Amino acid sequence: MSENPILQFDQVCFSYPARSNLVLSQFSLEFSRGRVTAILGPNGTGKTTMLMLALGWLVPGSGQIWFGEKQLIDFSRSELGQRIALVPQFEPSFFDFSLLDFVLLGRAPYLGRFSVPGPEDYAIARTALEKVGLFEKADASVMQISGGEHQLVLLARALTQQTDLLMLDEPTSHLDIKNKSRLIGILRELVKEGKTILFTTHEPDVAAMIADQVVMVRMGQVAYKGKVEEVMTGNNLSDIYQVRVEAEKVRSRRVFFWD
Amino acid sequence: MLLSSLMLALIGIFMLSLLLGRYPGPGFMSLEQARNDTMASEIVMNLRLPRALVAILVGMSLAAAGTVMQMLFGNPLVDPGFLGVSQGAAFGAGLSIVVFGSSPWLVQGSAAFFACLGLIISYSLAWKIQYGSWVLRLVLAGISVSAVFTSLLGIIKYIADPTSQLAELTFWMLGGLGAISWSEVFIVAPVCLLCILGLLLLRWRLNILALKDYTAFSLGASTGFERALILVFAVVATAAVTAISGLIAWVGLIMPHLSRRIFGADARFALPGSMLLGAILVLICDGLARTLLPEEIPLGIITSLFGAMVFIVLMMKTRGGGE
Repeated sequence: MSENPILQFDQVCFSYPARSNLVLSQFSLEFSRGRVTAILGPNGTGKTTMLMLALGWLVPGSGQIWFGEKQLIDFSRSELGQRIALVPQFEPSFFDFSLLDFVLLGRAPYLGRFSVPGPEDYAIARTALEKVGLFEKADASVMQISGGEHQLVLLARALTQQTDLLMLDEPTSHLDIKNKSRLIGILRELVKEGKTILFTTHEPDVAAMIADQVVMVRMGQVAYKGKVEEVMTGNNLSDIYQVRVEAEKVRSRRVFFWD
Repeated sequence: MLLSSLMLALIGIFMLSLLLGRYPGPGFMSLEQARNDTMASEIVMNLRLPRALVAILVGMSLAAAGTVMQMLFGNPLVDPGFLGVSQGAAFGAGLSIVVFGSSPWLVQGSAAFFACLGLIISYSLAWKIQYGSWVLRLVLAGISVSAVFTSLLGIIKYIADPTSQLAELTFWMLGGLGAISWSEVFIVAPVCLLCILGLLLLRWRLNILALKDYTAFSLGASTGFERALILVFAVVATAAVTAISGLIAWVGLIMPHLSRRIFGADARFALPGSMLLGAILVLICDGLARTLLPEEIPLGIITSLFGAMVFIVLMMKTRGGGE
């Protein structure tokens, strides 16, 4: 697909301990540098597992995962943290950090175990907060913000990691339309700045709006992949979700109808 | 800054506590007297000074351990002794008083031994439990090991001589610094200071380790190793002070809350803040314990009373989401 993939799954098999079924089986996929890839698929098909494998948190039973020229397992943890950032779906906080202090945690891969962040780290964290439009709320508590803002704070924390690859796990699922639009706008800007973005989603519309490449996963394997116009057809989506889906173009936007 | 003013307050209270007591009468003695009266300077140097130093160590260790454990377990209601440490120490003390003899050395040694044993059993049990996340497994292990020690302690209480041994055991469990001399300071201080220093060095890292496993991992942390290291520091400090002071309740539970209210949740500030507050609380409570009545009041009773009152006030003054 591309000469220079940033992330590559090569014949990866994975199953959770004490469970026999393979979550991913012979899973091979490349992610192009500087592009946005959306991963679509029904619940329980291994989308989040795939992200956890790409993060290095889970280790494949067989097969390899490459980041650039090196295998994932050959990186140290802080090296990985400087290259790959994750925006989890939801992350409850039990303690009321200020947004700035919380976002600052993204600097951890660059700081030693016994270090504390310095002025430069603060500057990076402030820039990240500004990028997601929460600069004014830097001193607010993470426990007192809305669900939409929470998602943006998690994104800001990932941005302070200054990684090439940004992975988001269902970033829009808890957001209202305004916050969705805001998040998509920010992601578009990030791509312009050269970031590679990879996200899982349940929303075909969101995928169609920003993805360059769409991957549809079913039962731990790639069912369809390619450009939005080629892959996101009613037939393919019907096949994946086992429900009738129609895709239409309305004012240059792809919209989807389902029964 | 707030931290420095707390530090100054601690030093001030420490100085005052050296002058506070029941010699020559209840209340403060004058500086003049402390310098010129041989009896008074003897009391200050050999009784009050080591006792005040231990009070500071107890407060700092318990509050530090409470702060880090509440963060690591993502649970603001965790107490530093819950991993089998408090009940292990109580059982050890009871065993020594009833079976081996009640010399202070034996009681302290046995309490320290069983406190550490409680931790080791809890920790290895957590590895073996086939259920839930790592944090949940530790909590479950801590609860069950504590329950076993509590039952064993029940047997010991049952066979103890009610007039002498049971009274002594009960007194030990209420906590107190009445028997502290310089030798306790020399043994416990290096252990506590080492642990406290370790925790202070890791204070920002703690914020990362308090996040979900995979998030902490994605930020470059070796979650298993680093959390274990922090737990060992926290528990060893708790076990060390518990062995010489008995069960001092509520300090490790409440001071972290108070500190987070004042300094915010970031452990860079909440941890040292909590340690200073803990030291101040125990110093004041111990001062009251040895001054209010002719007979010394067990320290644990006063810290519980203070702790519970602070807790009630904190709960009534919720700030937004609350903790």
